[in-house]
Amino acid sequence: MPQKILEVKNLKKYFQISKGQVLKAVDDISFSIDRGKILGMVGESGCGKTTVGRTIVHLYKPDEGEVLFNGINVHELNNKKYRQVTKKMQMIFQDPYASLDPRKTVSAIVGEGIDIHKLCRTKTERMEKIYETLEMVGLNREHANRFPHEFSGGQRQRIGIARALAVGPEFLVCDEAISALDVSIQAQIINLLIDLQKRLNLTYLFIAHDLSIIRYISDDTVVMYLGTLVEKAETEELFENPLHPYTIGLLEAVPIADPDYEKSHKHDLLSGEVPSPINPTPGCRFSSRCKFAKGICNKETPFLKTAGKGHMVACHMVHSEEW
Amino acid sequence: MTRDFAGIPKDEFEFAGKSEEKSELLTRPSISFWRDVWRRLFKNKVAMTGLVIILAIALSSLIIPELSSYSYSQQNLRNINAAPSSQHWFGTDSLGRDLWVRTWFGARVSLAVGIFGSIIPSLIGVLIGGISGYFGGKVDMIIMRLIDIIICIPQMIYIILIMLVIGSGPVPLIIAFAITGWMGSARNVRGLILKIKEEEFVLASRILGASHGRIIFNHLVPNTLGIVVVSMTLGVPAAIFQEAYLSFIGLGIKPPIPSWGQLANLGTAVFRIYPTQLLIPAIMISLTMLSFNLFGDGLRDALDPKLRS
Amino acid sequence: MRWIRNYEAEWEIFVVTEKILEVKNLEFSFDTYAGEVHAIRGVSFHINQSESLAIVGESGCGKSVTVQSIMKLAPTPPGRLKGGRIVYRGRDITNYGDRQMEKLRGKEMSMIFQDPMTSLNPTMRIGRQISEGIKKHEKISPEEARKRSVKLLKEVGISDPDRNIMRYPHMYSGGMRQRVMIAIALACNPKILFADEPTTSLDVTTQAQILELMNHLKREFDMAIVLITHNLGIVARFAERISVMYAGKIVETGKTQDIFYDPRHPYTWGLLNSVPAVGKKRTEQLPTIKGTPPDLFMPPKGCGFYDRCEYRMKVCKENDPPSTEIEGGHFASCWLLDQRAPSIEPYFVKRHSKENFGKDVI
Repeated sequence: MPQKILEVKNLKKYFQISKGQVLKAVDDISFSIDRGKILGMVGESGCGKTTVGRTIVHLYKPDEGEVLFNGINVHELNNKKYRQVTKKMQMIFQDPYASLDPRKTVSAIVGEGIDIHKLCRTKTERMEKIYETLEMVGLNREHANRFPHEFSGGQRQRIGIARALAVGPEFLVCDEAISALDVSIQAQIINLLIDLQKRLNLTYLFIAHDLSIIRYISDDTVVMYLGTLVEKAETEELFENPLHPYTIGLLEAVPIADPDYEKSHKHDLLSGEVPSPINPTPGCRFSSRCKFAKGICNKETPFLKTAGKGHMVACHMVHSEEW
Repeated sequence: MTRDFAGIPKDEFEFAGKSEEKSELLTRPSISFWRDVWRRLFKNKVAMTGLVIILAIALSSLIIPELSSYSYSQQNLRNINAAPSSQHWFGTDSLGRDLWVRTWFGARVSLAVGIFGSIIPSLIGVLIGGISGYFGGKVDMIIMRLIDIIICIPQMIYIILIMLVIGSGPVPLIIAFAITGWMGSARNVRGLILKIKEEEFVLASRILGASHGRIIFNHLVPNTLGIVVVSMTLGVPAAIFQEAYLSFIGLGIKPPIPSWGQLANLGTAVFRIYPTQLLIPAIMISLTMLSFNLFGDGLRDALDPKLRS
Repeated sequence: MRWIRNYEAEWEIFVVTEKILEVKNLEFSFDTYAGEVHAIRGVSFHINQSESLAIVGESGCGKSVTVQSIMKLAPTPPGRLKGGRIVYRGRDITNYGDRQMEKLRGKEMSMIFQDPMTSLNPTMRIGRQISEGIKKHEKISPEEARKRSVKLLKEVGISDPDRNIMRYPHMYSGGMRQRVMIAIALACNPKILFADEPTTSLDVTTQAQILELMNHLKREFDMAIVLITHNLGIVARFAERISVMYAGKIVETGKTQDIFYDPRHPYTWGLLNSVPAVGKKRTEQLPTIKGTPPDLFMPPKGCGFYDRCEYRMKVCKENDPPSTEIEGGHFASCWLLDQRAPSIEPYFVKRHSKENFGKDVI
């Protein structure tokens, strides 16, 4: 089993909005995740993190570049093998209200994967597996015959997790899986995800915009801005020693639940707003808001270069002499 | 009302033990989506009244002509244009035919044309709109542009042309409706499918590895069924009215087979002298259309997830 | 206390005090098909002039309804004010009718909402939406109204205001629309601004800008702000005082420092514990509050938090704890504060800047 469970190489995904308008959602992204680790992905609207997540689980086909799972490029497989491999990668969605089919019972929802891949031979076996999965996520057997609208947001999210677990995945993309939940419920679901990760040796790509959760849960973190990867490092290293001007701005902007720190600290905020990812300007995407930007920033796109142990940044200024 | 908190004994201030997990239990009984819809519909008295009237008319149309001693084409030239009497409850028309039987047989025809003339085009529309919405891309574009072109010409003109070719009568009428009436339904369903296709629960199915067929029949169809049924129900009054109109201008159902439109046509000729001959079919048409509309509205309200309690 | 005669408002007389809004035992319910929902079950708080108060709680706790019932924006029916008093600048406005409230809304108290996409009229130019409010409360010429609109847009940080006055909402991003909403709310210099989750739908960096803007405007306009949110980070950055709500009641109130560093209510402990403190990694589980909030159709007789509380006592089940003062404006409603209760060491993750931050510590 290769150590790198997921490798994303020079991934590009563009969407044609209309004539001459190309939305460059993901523009040349590369990263990898080791088995058993949690990679946090942060960024604001338009950064492409959802597109990355969906391309990884094959909802979208990459326009350029490749996604390797356990070293295999799934798009080169035939149908049967394709399904076998892709079922090992599942996704948890953000909206607990839209991610479950309102017309189906919980057992139908959780059992769908089992039915598609014919994982159980008899009906009893199937129900047992469904009960087992429900119990794994903190629900119980009585819930199997109920409908989604009878559950709270946190419970529905558990059902979504059960659905993904039923097919025995190795890798989960959590696309803002807790953002729509109340704070105290978020903590419950995070604990569940961490517990499952330990028990089943899962690997996560954890996409979120809540930096305190990312800092808590992920081993490594990547920062995205407007379809490009601007910085990646081990989580603590990133938060203690951010290098990219956008990362610095992001960390300044995020309020921390510590009033002494907040009230005493002068916040150096980024100005302006995230520009549109449609027909982006050449050069560094962040140059329009960057106070360190110089001429080169508008002409050449910076590439990820090492700036410390395991710490990579895509910024001309960081790597220049004057920094 | 002040509570005497000072009076509470000290032993009340002991720990009561850890909270049980009972908060995860659901208290209300489980109810499936369709049962819930029916329950809400049932509470809607207006909609239920509409349904009762529809069923009453439908049942009568089936039973009454069988019980009558007259047939719908039986003429009696000695007793023309009679007023309602104990022999002829609705009177007779200008050829002495019993209007009671003709009205209720006409109900059969009008209802059949109305119901099938709404269901069949709806189903065709669901099929075409579904394909268009699900597959998207070029297929979608071609189908939608075709619809745009066809729809430029009013439906009535198509129907009239078709009927001139295939003749008149209930079945040709239904065929004409089917050929010309699917476009609106196709557009609606296409829009719906486009929306539902991107919903997260459908994406989840795709990620699990569901085939196209599974997604369509397992997820898309059940979630569009409600809206399709509502539009079918609300399409019936329109079809009934179209039939009435066509028969009225002499194209739809030709005598001796009665339909309400035809009866209205015949009744108009003698309206000034024998008003009941027009009033009766007119009232039947209006009452039936109203009932379908009320029931369809109630159905739509019952299906609206926002009104869930 | 000074008496002020406000000619523009037609003989309204206001009393200037430190407390500009006082809410006492407010009770508000909704009558639905399924029964009465006791959304607010006895809420008391006050807000002082020019201060920022945060009302914190999770969904369903009643924080939005509280503010809507003060501004009388909650639809009645099915809503119903069951009891309590609302006193604004010395005057009892509890039973104010529509016309009286219209004089207050916009001029004395104003509100901004969560979703800037749907809160602006898409068919009206920005400038007109701002001056609409001004014209309602003051008699001024259109030219004067336009000048004030331009000035307001500048205040909220929108560049090139002369041109932007003529634009339509759809031309703006979320952050800019929120700024426009703030401009509209501020048009008549209200004394209180209610902000219901104003930054929840915005990006993080935009959120920070809007918060800073609100802080700045608070000082500029000498205005009190009531911020409703569930985000504890925002509260830490922005609020001077905090009221924590749970199941239709306020369970704890106090200065921000008190709530974060010396909380006394088990729900507050649970809430604060749910946010991972800096330096904690996932090897230690997050302490959580088990279960879900109670059903407000049949609110509990005793403490609303009884079912989920790790420290509950027998007395808590049948008796709703009164609000007890801890010290200097810090109140909590919990039987643990009673002298008869045993003393406990709550499990509560302390977060203090000195230990957790390596740099920029003052």
